[in-house]
Amino acid sequence: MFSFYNRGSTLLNFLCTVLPVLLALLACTSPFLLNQADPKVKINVRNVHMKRYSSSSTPSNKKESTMMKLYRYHYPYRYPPKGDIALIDFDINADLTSVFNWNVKELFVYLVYEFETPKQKFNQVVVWDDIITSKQDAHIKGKNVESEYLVTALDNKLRGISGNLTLYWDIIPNTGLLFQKSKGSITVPLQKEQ
Amino acid sequence: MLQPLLDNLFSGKSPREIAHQILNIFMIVTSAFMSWKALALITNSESPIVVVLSESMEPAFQRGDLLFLTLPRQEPFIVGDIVVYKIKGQEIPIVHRILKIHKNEEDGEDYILTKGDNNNIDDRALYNKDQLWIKKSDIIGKVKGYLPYIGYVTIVMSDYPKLKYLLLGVLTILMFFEKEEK
Repeated sequence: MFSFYNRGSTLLNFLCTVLPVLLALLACTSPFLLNQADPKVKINVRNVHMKRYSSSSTPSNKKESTMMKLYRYHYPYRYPPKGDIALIDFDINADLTSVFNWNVKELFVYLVYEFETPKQKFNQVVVWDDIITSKQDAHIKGKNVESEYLVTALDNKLRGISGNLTLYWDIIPNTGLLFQKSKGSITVPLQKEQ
Repeated sequence: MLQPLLDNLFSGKSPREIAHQILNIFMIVTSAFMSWKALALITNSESPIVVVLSESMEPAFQRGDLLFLTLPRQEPFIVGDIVVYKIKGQEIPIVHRILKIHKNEEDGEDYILTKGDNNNIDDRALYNKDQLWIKKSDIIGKVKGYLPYIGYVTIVMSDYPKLKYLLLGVLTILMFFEKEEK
């Protein structure tokens, strides 16, 4: 009466019913738990380095040579065009410990510079990012951190532009929906003249 | 030649029952196809469910994880969105995160640059030669939901095509031999 096939089939059926229900319940708790989170974010800009790049320009210090290297990596198949590039040094103190709950697999934390140019009303560039996979590492502290990515514009003109620096984090769940949150916006003007 | 085969598959069944069984099989196939297309319509994405094939987004997404995509017309793209895009002339869609975005007023286009979380440099090396940006038309969808591991089955199947045909064969045979409850 209870053959091996019967037992196997029942077990598999049970698994295929219970597992999705459990996963769905887990996914449903996420928005509520995330609402209760109270992250604290403090960002402070130390320095904004600007450089007008051209193929003949030579770096005058270590920072400029880093910037030029980053800019060249940005154009893998050709010489980079003439243009303004900027690199931001900043302090960060972000306590995202409370964001972690049982349905958080990873936080992708990124610092975004958002600005407006005459021809492009909406520009966003990530200047720095960090991957956090455990609650213990979720308090990010850094002094005078050098950003990983350059600020660039579509038409390569950045002079006199002012924008906002904001910390965003993308919440990747164990299962369910992905969420994006942000906090701690500050205004950062770029230089007019060099 | 066909008669013995039919007798074997449907022994002791009337032509009406045989027709019913064949129609049932068609029903399963067409309803699967219809739900896929309906999902594509609802999400506005040509391929609303994709399986992660590369390690470039680790530790967020591993090979074999299942992603659910949407592409609402009104919703703008912003930096940090994980998008699935396909470069013109390339077969395999790529799941990466938006690193830079410039919305140009003149042509109404979004100029988007992407990067894999696990890669050291941005995706310009993956784009076509002399292509600096991807545009809205290259994007298949935005990742909205995540389910781990399930998609690994399809990776195994595409790695071992014989297994796929074996499984399809067994399933078809099982469907034919399905006993109807009376």
